[in-house]
Amino acid sequence: MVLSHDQWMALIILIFSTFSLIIGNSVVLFANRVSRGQFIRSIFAFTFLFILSIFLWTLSIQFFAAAFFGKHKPLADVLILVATSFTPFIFGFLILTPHLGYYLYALLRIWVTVNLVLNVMVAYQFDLIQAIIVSLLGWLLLELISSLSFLRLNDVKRWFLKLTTGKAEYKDPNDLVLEYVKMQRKLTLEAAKSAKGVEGGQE
Amino acid sequence: MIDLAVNTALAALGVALLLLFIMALLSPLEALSWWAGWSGHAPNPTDISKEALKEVDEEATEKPPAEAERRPGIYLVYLTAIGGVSADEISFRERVFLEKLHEAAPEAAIISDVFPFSVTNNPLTGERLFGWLWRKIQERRKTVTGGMLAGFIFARNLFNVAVSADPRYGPINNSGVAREISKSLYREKYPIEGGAPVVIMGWSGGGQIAVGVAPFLNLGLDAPVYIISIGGVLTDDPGVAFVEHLWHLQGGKDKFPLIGDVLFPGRWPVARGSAWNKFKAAGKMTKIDPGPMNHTGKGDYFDPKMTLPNGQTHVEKTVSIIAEAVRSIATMPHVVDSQESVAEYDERQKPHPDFLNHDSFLT
Repeated sequence: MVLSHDQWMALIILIFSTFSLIIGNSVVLFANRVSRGQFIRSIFAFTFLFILSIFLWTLSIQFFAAAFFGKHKPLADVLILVATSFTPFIFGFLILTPHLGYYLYALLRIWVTVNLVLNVMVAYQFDLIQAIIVSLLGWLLLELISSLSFLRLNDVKRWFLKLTTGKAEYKDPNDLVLEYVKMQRKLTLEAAKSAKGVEGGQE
Repeated sequence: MIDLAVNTALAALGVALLLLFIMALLSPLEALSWWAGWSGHAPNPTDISKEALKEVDEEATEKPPAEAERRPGIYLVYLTAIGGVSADEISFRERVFLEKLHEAAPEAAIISDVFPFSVTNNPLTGERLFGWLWRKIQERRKTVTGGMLAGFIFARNLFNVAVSADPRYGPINNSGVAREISKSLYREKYPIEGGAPVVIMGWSGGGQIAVGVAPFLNLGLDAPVYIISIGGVLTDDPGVAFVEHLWHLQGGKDKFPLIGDVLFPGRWPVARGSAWNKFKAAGKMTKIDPGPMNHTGKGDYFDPKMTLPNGQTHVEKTVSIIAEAVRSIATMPHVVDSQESVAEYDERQKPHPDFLNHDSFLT
């Protein structure tokens, strides 16, 4: 399959946007104490996974548009409209900004969602409700599929991350800090107990 | 000619804004790279126990028994404001304040050697990538151009306050600062079993850091934590749930603390379920107006010359309020009597077996 100039551009925009978004959300990697090498590999691995989920979303939009409203479009065209919808995530790295980044992330997600709905509306000549149904059903479907435990998608994800980054799991930063403080306290109490025990023994 | 001057000024402003933006973006990296072990100072949970054990060793070997058995009844930790470059280089006014506080509360150990805007207690002027730049700015701070450049010190530390208040970075950053405070406390003979009250006094941005470190001091030392905010810019940090009581001093001319009221939704009265509003509703916060004091500079909380209508200097008034708060803490049942022996204290001290079962505000 040969990609046209527009398709290439859409793909490049998608890759850069996703990459920037993953950088903006990289605090979880630092929190999990990855090495520099693992950090870089993780960024690429998460970028790949995110782009994969966008492809699935694209497929779902194409499917629902055809199934519910009888509108057909080539997959490559749908991919362009989905990929360009994600353009605001080019600013994803700004999510790192303390305090403001938190709100910026919410803003970018709203912007991307609105973009997607409008792009679907224009490209398929849908009304607003139809565009919302087609755009968001795909997202709901992805959420549903990922929650089906018998598909063992989490195992697949863990296997993939282990393969690419050397870490099978990324824990929540808050849990990690709390574990650390508990460990610190436990070690201090144990060390003090053993030191006092030794002194007592010497006496 | 005027055009050239305007263009130059605009260009300088643009560069300054760009620099500030880059500083903001990179500000979480110090804490994150420390935590990840990229900076060569990876946090090691045994560091604290080593510091704590020094106390045990000293008691057993070096100090005379009478001295070794006496512990401060209460521990006061002072955290400077965002104008600071290190814990050692605090202003003359702050030094006067600490000296007067020591006189007013002799039973307390006062700790002021922790720089609150670094996870490793590394001063801005210390060993760091841009340490040379901060040293130059600090040297020229008293001059006109240096004074303008000092704005970058304020900005850098302000961004660090934002890092502390950000739920994504806060736990990492604040656990690092708490770790440094813990080391200082152990150096001052803080009991390993915990229980002795720790009062964190934070001026301006130090107020947020004080709230941020509270959970980690509470859980990591088993310490009841109190906070005295001196014109503190308090955010909606959920760490407040781990604070026994908070006294907030806000001078009549000090509008800076209002930043926290406005910028952080958890402080808004409508957010009834927020940790902050629950804390206030539980009656754990006392707001005190010490008089017409400024946030910083002439007429601030530590001014030893400016007087209030009753003739008291600003610093004397601030000290008297804090000493009163310390006295009220000292009447609480968990506080160690400074004349009490370690053995007596151990006997009286309730163990905290449920330490590891604390519900986490972080999860």
